Amino acid sequence: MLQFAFKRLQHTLILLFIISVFVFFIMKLAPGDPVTVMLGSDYNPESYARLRTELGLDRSIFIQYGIWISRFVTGDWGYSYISGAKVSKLILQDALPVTLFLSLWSLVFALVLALPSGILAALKRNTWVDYTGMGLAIFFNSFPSFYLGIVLIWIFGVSLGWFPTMGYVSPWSDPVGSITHMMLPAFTLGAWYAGLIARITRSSLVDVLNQPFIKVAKAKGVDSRAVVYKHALRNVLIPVVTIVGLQLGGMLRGAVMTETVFALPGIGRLVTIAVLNREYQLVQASVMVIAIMFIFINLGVDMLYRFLNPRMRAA
Amino acid sequence: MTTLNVSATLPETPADTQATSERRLSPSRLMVLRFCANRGAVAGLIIVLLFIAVSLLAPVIAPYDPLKQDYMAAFQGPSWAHWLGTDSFGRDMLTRILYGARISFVVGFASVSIAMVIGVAIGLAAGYYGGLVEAVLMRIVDGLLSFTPLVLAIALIAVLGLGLQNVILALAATFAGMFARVTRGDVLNIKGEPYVEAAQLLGVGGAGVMFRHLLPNVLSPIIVQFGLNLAVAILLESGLSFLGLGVPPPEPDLGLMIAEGRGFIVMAPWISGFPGLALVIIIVGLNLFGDGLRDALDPKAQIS
Repeated sequence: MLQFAFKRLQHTLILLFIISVFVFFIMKLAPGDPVTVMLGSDYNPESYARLRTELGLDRSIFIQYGIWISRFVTGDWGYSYISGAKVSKLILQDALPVTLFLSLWSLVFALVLALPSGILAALKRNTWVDYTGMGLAIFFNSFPSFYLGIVLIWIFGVSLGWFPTMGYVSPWSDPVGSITHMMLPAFTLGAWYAGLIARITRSSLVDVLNQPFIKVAKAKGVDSRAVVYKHALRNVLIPVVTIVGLQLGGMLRGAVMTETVFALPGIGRLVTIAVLNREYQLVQASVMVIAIMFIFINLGVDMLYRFLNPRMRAA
Repeated sequence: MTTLNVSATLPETPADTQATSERRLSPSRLMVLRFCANRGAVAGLIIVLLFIAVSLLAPVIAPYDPLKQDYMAAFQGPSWAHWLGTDSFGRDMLTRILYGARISFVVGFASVSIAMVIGVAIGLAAGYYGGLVEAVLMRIVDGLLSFTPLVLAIALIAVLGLGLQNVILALAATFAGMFARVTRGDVLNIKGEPYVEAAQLLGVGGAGVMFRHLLPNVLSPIIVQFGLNLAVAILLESGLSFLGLGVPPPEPDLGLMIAEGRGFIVMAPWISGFPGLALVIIIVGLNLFGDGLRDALDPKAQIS
């Protein structure tokens, strides 16, 4: 296990290097001269030359990469041209907590909705319960999060007035307000995820229930409830955890949309606005942060997967 | 639905009938039969074909010009003159949805096709040559896949700029990695087969082996990937346009129309509502079709 962890970590470091090269070169393709943009009205040939040297832009591309990555690693991500704030503060202190809070709530919503319906659909296979549940799952799985968000705002926010439709309230300053503000966004983001998890849970449970060891347990006279909860569900956990983990990236995609619909100041909205404003440093750092998060989530899922599946541990 | 209709000698048990008839049919015919037996998949295919047909025929059947503004007709609800109402500029919603579906399909097919060509070439080369070629190519693919699709697309749009072409390119880049990974995996599985070695011994060159002998045998998972990615591509395209990072206004794009209607959700819910509904139906259709295609081509595969 330890050896595997070490190997996987090595792989992760290589990946981190590759994505940093990608991000660096993609942003090099950006139109316009960053020095001219940074100087703005202070532009004159001398200050231009000075800043260019300062940023290392007169050196070779490899040295430029070296300068950029060493700055990134030490947390020096530059400043936003528009707000003047530190990019690292905008991303890590302001935006990231919002996105994480939203993702966490959505995950809770998704699991609470999906696991029971997936299990029920598998146990009542080919009945109306199964058809309704899976029909809803495919439906929600196909519903674009930005459209679902608008529909929910229209029904529960505007028509019924049950929940606030816009903005973010920090859970530290107002715990209750933060949850009511998160209800619609979390449902919007969680619905897609719930559809996916419900379908996986159902198909894995159906598979497991057909396995010989389940028949043995039933033949031994084990209570049918215990067969499902003790014997079958444990084996369903592996594919479900894998999908939950692998699709966290998909959740991040949904988060970008959901944040825009509900005006939540998360990292998705930050990066969207940064692209529209052509703030390349902010785009660069945000994309790096999201990719790094994604890589570490995958690493975590991989580890958990090995832990849950003893057969993989030996391999 | 088509049923298996195999005459000749009748085997004794129903199980035998199934096994024998499956053995006698060519793989492609078997695939078609399996697909047709899946009601959801057929429904999906019909929905998709219907939408493709009406979007292709948009210039002929659309009742209005998708870009023509008519302030006298703004914010009209569904009526005989405008079946799905009009938007804030008085443009006919039905017309714009027909043209919008057209953009969705163009972006979907174009981006996934480009991704397929590039990804399959990378996957074939990596799987066939192995060694350093494989290591370098697959690390690049790993890197591509570590960005979530939307984020990579946003980063590329940031430098390429807005517009239909750039959206297609950005989406193609995000999907190429998936095709490469799938292709390489399957090439590794069949590389050691006798017919591949035979071709090599006969002096067939690298490209010949890859495209004439390996590619036809790894096509199924590639086609499955194509079907599943179409829905994701269309979803991403409309999402990018919704964020303002895709097709710029006044083009009739479904994502853009949903975004434009947001501000009028109380007084004119149809402006966001109908384009969204059209998008949902297209995605449901593509998902059902993609799932059916996967089940038909690769019966062993589970949802994953």
